[in-house]
Amino acid sequence: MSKIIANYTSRRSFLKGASALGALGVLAPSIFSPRFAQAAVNGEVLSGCHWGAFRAVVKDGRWTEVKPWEQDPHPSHQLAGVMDSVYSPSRIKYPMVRRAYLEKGRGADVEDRGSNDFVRVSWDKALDLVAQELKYAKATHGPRSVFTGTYGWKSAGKIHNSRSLLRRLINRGLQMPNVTHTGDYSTGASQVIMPHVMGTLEVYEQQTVWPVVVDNTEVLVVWGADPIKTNQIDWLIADHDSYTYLEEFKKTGKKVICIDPLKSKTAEFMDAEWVQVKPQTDVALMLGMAHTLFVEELYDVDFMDEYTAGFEKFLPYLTGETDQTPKSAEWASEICGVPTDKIKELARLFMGNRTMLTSGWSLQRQHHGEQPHWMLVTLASMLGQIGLPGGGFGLSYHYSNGGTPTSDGPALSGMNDGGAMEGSVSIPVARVVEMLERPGEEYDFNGTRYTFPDIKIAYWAGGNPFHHHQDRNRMIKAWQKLETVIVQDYQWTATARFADIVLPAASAYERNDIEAMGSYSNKATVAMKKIVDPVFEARSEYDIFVDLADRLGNKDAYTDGRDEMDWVRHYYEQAQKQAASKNLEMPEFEKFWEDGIVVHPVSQAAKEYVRYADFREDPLLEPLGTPTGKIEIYSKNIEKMGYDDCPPHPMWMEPLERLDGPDAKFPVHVNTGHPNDRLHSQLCGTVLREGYAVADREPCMINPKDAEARGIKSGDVIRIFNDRGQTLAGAIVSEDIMPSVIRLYEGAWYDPVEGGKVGSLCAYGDVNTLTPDLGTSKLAQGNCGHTVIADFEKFEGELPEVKVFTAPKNG
Amino acid sequence: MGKHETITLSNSDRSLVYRWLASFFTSEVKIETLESYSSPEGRALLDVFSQAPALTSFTGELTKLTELPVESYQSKVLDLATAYSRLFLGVGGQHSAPPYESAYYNEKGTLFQKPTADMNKILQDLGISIENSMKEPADHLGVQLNVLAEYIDREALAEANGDHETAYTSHHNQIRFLSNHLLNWVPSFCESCKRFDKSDFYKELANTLSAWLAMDLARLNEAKTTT
Repeated sequence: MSKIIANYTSRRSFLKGASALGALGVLAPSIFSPRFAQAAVNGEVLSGCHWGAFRAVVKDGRWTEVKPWEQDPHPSHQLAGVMDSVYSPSRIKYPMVRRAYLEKGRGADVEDRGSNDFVRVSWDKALDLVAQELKYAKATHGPRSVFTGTYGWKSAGKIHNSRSLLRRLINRGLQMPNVTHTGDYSTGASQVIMPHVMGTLEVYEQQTVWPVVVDNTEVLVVWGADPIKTNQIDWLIADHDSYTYLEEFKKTGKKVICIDPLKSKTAEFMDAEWVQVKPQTDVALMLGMAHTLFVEELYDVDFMDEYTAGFEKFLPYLTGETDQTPKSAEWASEICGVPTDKIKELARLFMGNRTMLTSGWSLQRQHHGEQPHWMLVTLASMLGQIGLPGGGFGLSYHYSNGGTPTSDGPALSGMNDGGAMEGSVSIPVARVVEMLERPGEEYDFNGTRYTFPDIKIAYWAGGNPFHHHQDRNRMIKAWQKLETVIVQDYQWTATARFADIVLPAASAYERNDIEAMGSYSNKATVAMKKIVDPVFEARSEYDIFVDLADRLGNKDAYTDGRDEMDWVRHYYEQAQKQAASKNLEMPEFEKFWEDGIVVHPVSQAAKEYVRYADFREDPLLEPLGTPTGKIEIYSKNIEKMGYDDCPPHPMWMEPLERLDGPDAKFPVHVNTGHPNDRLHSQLCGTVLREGYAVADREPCMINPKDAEARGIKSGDVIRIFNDRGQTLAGAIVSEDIMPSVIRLYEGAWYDPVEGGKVGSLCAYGDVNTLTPDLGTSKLAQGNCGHTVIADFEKFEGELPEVKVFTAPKNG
Repeated sequence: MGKHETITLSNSDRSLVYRWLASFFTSEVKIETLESYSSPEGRALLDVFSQAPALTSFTGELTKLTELPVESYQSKVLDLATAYSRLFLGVGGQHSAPPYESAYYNEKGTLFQKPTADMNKILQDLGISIENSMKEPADHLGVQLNVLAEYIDREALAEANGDHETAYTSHHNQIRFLSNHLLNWVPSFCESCKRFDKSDFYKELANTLSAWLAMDLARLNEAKTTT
């Protein structure tokens, strides 16, 4: 045996000469050090994320299993995707720079963005470049030349808050007036109109709590919402407590009505009655109900007198006195497709029972999106149940488990932006593309005229506008105006692919942080402990920004002398002090950090909270924050603005386009609702996709009638198109959607067949290739992601591969 | 095979070839790399490597590079770096060739799976770890090729010390490692390189790697079976 091996190894070295060469050390280096690796880490770590709290099992330094927190009543199946996202092949591994940008500098070959020509650079090189560009912007273009709007669902965590940290960099690091955003893509219209109507944002306020609803509500209406689907997530750490109450409500056997073009998860779960309504016609349907209540003299006259203002100015419109069109059930039925009798029946049912009108935000994410919730409030007012237990309306039962009783726990504060400098401005978030197209020009917003800033650099940290913004093709073109685009993320999102400088951020599971559980419940304070070390060269948000602040010469002003754990402790101890002032004891920091969670007590009063009970009890002492102190059915402030697209009382107005609308150019509406297996675009690149992709594409639900007419069956690849763009998708033929409506969830990763090219077919299913980019109105300037009609066909050509997710097909 | 038939490889040659191949997966080609290969020593190295049939196509690619005018190095290096990023750093999305065993261990291409754990154990058993500056998991192709070089060196050292037992174990470790951790996925990986590489460079590197691994395993087995 040994002889043979000896023979084998003693063969003459053909490299004998070359081996002696010094070059070999350089050309064939060893990459090992002669030492043992560090002891591997094993154990279980409690942490949290938008999808809930969980325990991570770590074996030999690798995260191998995710288990929901034991006290989570309804864990989300998406947790599996959370773990998967950390080790996803779509992770950004190293700092990268677009090749043309690296070679030729800012503004080089901007039409080339999105074509995936990137070169790896060192962290030093990347950070030097970013710092250099920021200094250049300040020196050459001055204030308001850097956009730090960076909208998006950044990871949970109070310290590594990429949005605040980025603004802090401009405010304290660069020390230049910045440009940020106001509002969001979720509730853009509602959060601007509601303060005029109710005196509060309404969309982010605690609701009449679920225990009260379970006990008192007789008819639960779910209007354009799907809480079973969307309460999986929370802007902070999800508690999932609303599921328990939904189950309890179901057990009572009381009536649940879902008004929706789709049979939602909630309709299914609650065994609800499904009322099919044509998309974007909710205002007409509500007007039909209001008209019924009025002509049948059913509505609560006393409530209107005592608690509302301007109803008398709305009535002539309702009755048709002003426009010769009574907004009768018959009139409404023509528009919304709900049978006249059904409209009347619903109006009477709501009036005759304690009715909670809960609504989602889909209603307002459309052209003239200010109107639906204003009209919903008007309808609820006519029912006269606002402020009564289980009656009225609610705009946040579907979000972050709204309506779950609020604990006595302290509010947890977090990283701030360090104070914006004088001269900083913000734009309505969804006008970002228009801002790039029309620098220096004026626009309207909520009663004021503003001027769009002239942006040279956009820096996005923890957001994916190439998913959430409408009209992808228009956006690609507008993006070319930017001289430099910096994107900091942990996944190769479409936005990262359209950047010049890409910085790999650590995921939320590769750093230490602290966060509250439950945006509404404030159920607990959670230690978001690092589960594993950052993979590849990823670095935490805080570390990246501190290094940039250092390069800008202002590190101390940026850090206030604190490192990551100093901040975690700082915010915990602030919360602890606040708790003490409420006679609530919280453990010392060390104990908290070891235990990983402090659950806060909930008072009896919190379990009995009824929204607007105080106002109802005493409207003079507890007035609303509106000019009249009452619910404004008519707003004089809005009247003064004189907007042609937002009248002073709720009105039915034709949107830009709608199903069966006048001059509709396409035959179907595209529903762009929130996905069931992702958080917007997050986790699209994970194992979860295996559970829903059809022919490797984003699934599109189609009514059998529409499918048959086009010769399409489940599993087929279809092309959906209109005059703005086109995308492929995988067909699911189902009775769970009404005819002439198809559903393609938002958040599918943009995957252009020709990267960077305007008009390219999306191979995967990004619905925002089809949506229009316009403001809801001059009032709110919210996005109109639900205002979209299109056509579709069976795709017969050569099928382009989906390539946005790194998932090699093994050779 | 002609004159190449007479070329045989000593263990020091083999480990050198493994480390040399690994170097193209662990980092992009730099201007300095091109300069080294155009130096007399570099050219000599390519000359001798080119005599091994399995290595010919790739040494040909490298030789072509060294023949480029020096002023075009910068742009060539960026071409190659772009191709490298697309193939190996995930930029190419599904049109890439992740150089990790884990990526081929499951349908989805998830990283840091069992092969990473296995490789960590192997490194631990060898009493070595990856240089701090290299931030790659242990199932990276570059690491794996270096592990094989390590086994080869250990065989040669044991042989030189007359420790036939250790030499025998190291020899068998090579066969096992090649079969269990390289040939189980590298063919798929090489296919992806060939399919998706937009430069010829990584295509040829993949061709060469496949040919070399196949040849080396045959040789190892031959040495074993003649026992």
